[in-house]
Amino acid sequence: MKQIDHHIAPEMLADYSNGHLDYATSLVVASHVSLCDSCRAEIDTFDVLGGALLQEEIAQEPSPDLEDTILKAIHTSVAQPRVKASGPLPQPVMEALNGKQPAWKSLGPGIRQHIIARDKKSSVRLLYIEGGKPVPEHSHKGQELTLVLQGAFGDKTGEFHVGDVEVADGDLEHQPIAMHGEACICLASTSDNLIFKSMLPRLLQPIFGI
Amino acid sequence: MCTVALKSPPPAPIALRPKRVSKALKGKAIRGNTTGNFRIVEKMVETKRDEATLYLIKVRDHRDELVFRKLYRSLAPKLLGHLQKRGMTRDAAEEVLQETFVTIWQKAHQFDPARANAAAWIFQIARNKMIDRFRGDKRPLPADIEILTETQDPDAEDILSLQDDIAELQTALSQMNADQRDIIEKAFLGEMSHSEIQELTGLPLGTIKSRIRLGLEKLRYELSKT
Repeated sequence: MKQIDHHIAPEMLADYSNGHLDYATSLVVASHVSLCDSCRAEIDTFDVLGGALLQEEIAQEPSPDLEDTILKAIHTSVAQPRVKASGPLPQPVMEALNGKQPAWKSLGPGIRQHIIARDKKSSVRLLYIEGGKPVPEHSHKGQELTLVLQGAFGDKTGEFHVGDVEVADGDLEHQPIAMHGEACICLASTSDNLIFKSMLPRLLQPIFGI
Repeated sequence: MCTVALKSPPPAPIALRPKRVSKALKGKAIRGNTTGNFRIVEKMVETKRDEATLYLIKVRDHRDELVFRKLYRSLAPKLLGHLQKRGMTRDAAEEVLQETFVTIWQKAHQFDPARANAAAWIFQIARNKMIDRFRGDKRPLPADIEILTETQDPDAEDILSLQDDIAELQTALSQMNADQRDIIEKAFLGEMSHSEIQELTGLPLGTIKSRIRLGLEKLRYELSKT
């Protein structure tokens, strides 16, 4: 496999880590991170910093019986095993598909899609494009993330191979074409507003409703 | 962007899809095989660093409930303080604390001290539980990377180097006042990149990131050989 050249910006990774991105965008980010050691290291570093900040927190004593409650719970609760990756589809995608293979629907000759989730503001789908065919446009506005899971595509901004992610805002006029050879499978999200709902507070602001 | 300058060239990057990882691991659960770990553990005791990480390795390898209690006592109060500072009620925070520690017990086999210390690993579990509770959707998480305990033996030095860097980070943070830490915390939300934070504060985040990346690459290299 080629080295991954097109990554997700650290700021977006941090927003993902902190739960600020909507579902569609989060799925593409989680899938890219599953394939990309350098972005995973970025995220792990946020966690190391979080862990170090945790050590500086003011301690609050938990209720005295909580320790025993937890010790009982480790024997009674059963871990739910995660759905496994399948072929080119990484673990987060297979989880989103509930372990089922995509049910492709034709969008024309050589092009198929499976919509994983869609609401008024965002969508995330799998695209299957035969070599030489154009990648269908999946958005009119907002931000698009397109992650290659198999094959490759190219447009005027460059070539995108397995693991590469193209982040484009609505203004980018481009016509990606699947490269000749193996069919190209992509995970593509569109989002008017990347931010999850609007309620999730930033750190240090009170979380209400919990 | 995401590229980092490594001090020494890493092994050729080997990208492995999760499926191959799980295939490679079939029938190879080598957990609890401890010749390598004892050496790591002893070194860590010797250098008297990071009790919580030591406990978590013991929980992972020996499923020892008494050590698990020690781990709880060492981190639960600060975690509870953190969750309440984030605005959770005490009841909700204790529920998250309970879910977090049950998950720690269940997923301890995934803990890799070459990529995180116990505080970071546990912080991330608790944060995800808190976010899930708030969002009420199933926020997608990256693929698990399984570890082979066996492969950690030659990496004892890596583990200790990461521990050194984290100790340095901890010292730097503890010398700041609460307001300064506040700024770091906010920057950590994505307003600044690691390199900017590092430039501004001298915190060794770039080095830590390089080490974590090296740990990941070595792990994938080992997995690809099995």
